[in-house]
This record gives sequence, structure tokens and C-alpha cells, in this order.
Amino acid sequence: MGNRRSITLRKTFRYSYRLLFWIPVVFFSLLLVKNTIPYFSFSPGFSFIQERAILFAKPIYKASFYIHIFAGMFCIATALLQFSSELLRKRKLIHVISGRIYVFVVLGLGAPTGLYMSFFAKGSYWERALFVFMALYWFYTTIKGLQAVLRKEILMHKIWMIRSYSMAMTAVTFRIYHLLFYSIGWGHLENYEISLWISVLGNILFAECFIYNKNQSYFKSINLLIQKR
Amino acid sequence: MKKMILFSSILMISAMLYGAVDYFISDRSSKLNGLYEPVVTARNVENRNSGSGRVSYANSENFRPKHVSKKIAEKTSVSVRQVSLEKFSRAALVEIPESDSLETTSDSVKIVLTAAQRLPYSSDEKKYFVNSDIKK
Repeated sequence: MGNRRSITLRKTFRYSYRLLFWIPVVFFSLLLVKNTIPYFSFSPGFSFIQERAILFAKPIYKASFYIHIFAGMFCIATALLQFSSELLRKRKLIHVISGRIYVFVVLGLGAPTGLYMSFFAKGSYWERALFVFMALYWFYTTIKGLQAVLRKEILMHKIWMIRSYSMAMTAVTFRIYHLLFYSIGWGHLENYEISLWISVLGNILFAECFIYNKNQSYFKSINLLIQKR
Repeated sequence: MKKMILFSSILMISAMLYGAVDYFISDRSSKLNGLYEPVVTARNVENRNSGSGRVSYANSENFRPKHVSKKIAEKTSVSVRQVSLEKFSRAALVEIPESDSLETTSDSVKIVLTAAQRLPYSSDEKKYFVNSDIKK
């Protein structure tokens, strides 16, 4: 009886923990998508564009920017569907289709345009180097995830896709840190640089910890797949 | 899928090379030094040498609830009136609304505007801006 109660309690904790993680992730992801949509009015009135007026005068930079935010929107939105085990079990086709969209927008649109724009990012040489690293890491982890699923290595697919998603989510976590540091009165540039470093390194670290902790359940999921066959 | 990986890899290499060439060889890199310096957006300016306005941060509308944005704008506006250029962000944006005028005294900031909608800053222009246009 006591054992059953402790199992129920553990399940409740796990469920609450998942909710605590996913509710803000979904909320801020959708907020990012919502805030991106107005940019497609192609108005130069946005302060982000005004600040980079010299760069936006160049068609290739302008095109890269719009392609990048377009890709980012799809990437963030489709990635949200990828981590539902419920969806994967009951509607596998949705997982496959949204996964293909994610891979296409990252490899074909988001990463190349992000890499080009990295050279002109705000901050010092270090911040620009960080953006270059982000684009390369995002590209590499997505390719590895794709290759793993093509070889039917589900565990490796999950691991690489978590890493890829952690890079996609820097767009979201960066804004959260930026907002938090603003509220405590940090200056704009310091805030920008620190938020950027924390969001990139923090997301990588978080992904690695998550992968490490989930190892057992990954092996269980593989066993289940083998049993089904 | 192999074709897609190959195609996207070519895209990445092209982006890397083009970005590096664009950054290091063209004159864009010299312009970049001043790209994220304070920006003056002048609206309703009649006299070239008059200055009025308040400061708000670039990107302030992005991802920020309205009340936070307002608070930051107010805070920054005060800092511009009272402290030197170094004290406010390099990426600050000075906007000139119709009704909010900025008094300039010997110990506060004086902003001299040109008729341009936005002043791009090369390093020379920045020097001029710091030394002549904004005084402590």
C-alpha cells in the first residue's frame, strides 16, 4: 500500500516537473513566433532594423535576415511537436512530417543564413565567434540527428536532436535572460553580451545534463521498439 | 536525403566564405565599428542645432511586456538628462518625440541634431558626436 502510494507520488512529481518545464517553453516559444510575424510587414521601422540600417542596405543581408526569421519560426514551432512521446506513439506521421520540416529549415535556411549574419552580429569579436559556433553546432547536431534516424539508431537520433533543439532554443532563452537582467537594471550592451553567453553555454550544458539523466529511459524505449518488431 | 545534406553543406561553406570575405575584405568591417553606437533618430526637427528628446533602447519592443518597456524608457530618459554619454548604453537609441523636450545645461547632456533621420556612425563621426554634439 505504502509502496503504491510512493509510486503515485513519484509519478505526480514527475508529471508536475514536466509541466513546469514545458509550460514556459511552449509559452515563450509561441511568444517568439508571435513577435516575429510583424517583421513580415517588411517595414524598416523596427528598432532592430534601424540599428542595422547599414547592413540592411545590402540585399544579401536583408534576404538572409528574413529567411532566417522565417526559418526560425517554423523551426521553433515544429520542434515543439517533436518531444511528445504521446504524439510519437499515436500519430507517428506528424512526428515524421514536422521533423522533416525542422531538418529542412535548419539545414537549408536557418543555419546558413545565421552563419552569414554571424559575421555582423552585435558585440565584440568574441560574440561574433560565438554566433559562428552556434550556427555550425546547430547545423552539425541536426545533420547527426538526421543521419542517426536514417540508420534507425533511435537513441542517437534523440540525443543529437536534443542538442540541436538546445541551439534553436537559444533564441528563446536569450530573450528571457535579457528581460531578467533588464529588470535588475543592467546596461544594454553588458546585458546583451552576458545573456548571449549564458543562453548558449547554459543551453548546451542543460542539454548534456538532460541526456545524461535520461539515458536509462532511452535504453528502455529502444527495448520497447525491438520488442514491437 | 544525401543530396540534401550535400546541398546544405555547400550552402554552409558558401555562407562561411562569403561572410568572411564580406567582413574582412570589404569596407563593411570599418563601418561595423560604429554600427552599434548610439543612434539619433530625429523627428520633427526644424533647427539643425536644436536638441530635444529622450532615449530608449534599441530592440525595446522585442519580447518585452509593455510596462517593462515603459519603465526602461523612463529610466533611460533620466540618465540622459543627468549623466554623460559613457553612462548610457552604446546601443541606445535617441528618439525625438514632439512633446518631450530635453533641457541642456552645463552639467547635463546636450544633443545637437542634424536634419538626418538617422546618423550613421563611422569612427570619425562618432568622435565628432562625442566631442561636439553631446557634452557633459
